[in-house]
Amino acid sequence: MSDLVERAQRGEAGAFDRLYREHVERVYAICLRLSADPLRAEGLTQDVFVRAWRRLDSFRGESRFSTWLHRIAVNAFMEDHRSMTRRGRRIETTGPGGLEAYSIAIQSGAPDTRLDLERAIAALPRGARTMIVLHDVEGYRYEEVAALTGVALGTVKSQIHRGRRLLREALG
Amino acid sequence: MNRSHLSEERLNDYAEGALAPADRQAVEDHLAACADCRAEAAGLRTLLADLERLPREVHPPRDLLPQIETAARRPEVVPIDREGSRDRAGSRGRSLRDLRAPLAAAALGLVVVTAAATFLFVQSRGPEPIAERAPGVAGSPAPGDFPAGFRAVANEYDRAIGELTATLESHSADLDPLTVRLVEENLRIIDRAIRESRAALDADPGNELLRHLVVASYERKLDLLRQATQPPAPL
Repeated sequence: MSDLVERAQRGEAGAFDRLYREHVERVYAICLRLSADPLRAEGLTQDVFVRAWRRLDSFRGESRFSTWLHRIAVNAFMEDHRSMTRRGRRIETTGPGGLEAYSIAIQSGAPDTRLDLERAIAALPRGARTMIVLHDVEGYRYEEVAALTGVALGTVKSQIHRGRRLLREALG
Repeated sequence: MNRSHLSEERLNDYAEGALAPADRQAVEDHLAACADCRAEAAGLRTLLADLERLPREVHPPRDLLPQIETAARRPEVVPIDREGSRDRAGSRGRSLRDLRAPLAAAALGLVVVTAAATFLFVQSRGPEPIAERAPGVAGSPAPGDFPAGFRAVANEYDRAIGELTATLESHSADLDPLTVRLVEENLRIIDRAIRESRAALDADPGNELLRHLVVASYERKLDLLRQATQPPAPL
């Protein structure tokens, strides 16, 4: 376990701040790509660090802190998604600002990114986008994606294949 | 794609390098003779490489740490800070100057509700100085009248927030469209939190953490509405 995490667990002043600074950009990237919604991504990022703060004592260093944090991020997104689905809310492809708001957020936060690809990912149907982001961007294995999302392995694969097909069509 | 072409699954497995050597060789034999599948495989590989190269870090538009620290600590304390009364009075003054009278009236209603909620929490946790504000609040629940009293307070929150929201909507044309959009989206998020925490509390009325969460959600909404009435709105 890193010295910084241990210091944060002991409540040392500034330690959690440093953990936040070190990891917030990775967490925000996951939340932004999964949600395709800058505002929701901010809320999710906050939720992730609040959860991490509260559960810090339960982190035993069995995985890297970043891995632990990223799993919290995916879980936070999935819980949010399930909650929206349960209430029968219309699932929007992107947030209220649409692709333009997303483009501004991703480009200002990661100026070197490929905007056409980012926009194509954001425009994917939610299910395919979730799988593509987790597997193709974040590098989770199929089995891990299935476990994280609660979706059957076969469905995960078919969603990813569909997502890739749609991305290639969108990119011409 | 005719039947002699490779399936989408096969092509994807190949592009990902997920095939066993014998299967990979069979695919490569096919690709050597089929331009369509060769192009498909090349396109897939390019896409996968492009996806893998996307930056893993995106800088958020603002520092989220202050809100994180506030939210993380909130369940450990009474969710309404001791200076809330003074802050809200100040906000109300700005609202009266910047906005319309109905908006300010609704904001005043929120102050009352906040005080009632604070009282409720204090009563459930033992006496604290802030409770001294509560006895004058009309409709505030009697000590021990929990959770029925809490529901009454929550209903008051709903009513007052509803008024403030309606007023905000009626004047949305006068506000910056981006501000309106941001506020609406944040309200949507907060509303979800309110609904979920209230439903959970209904199922487990004695759960103190859930009571905190409900009021914290209402407080968040209150804060947002107050910010929205004080341009520029810092979201």
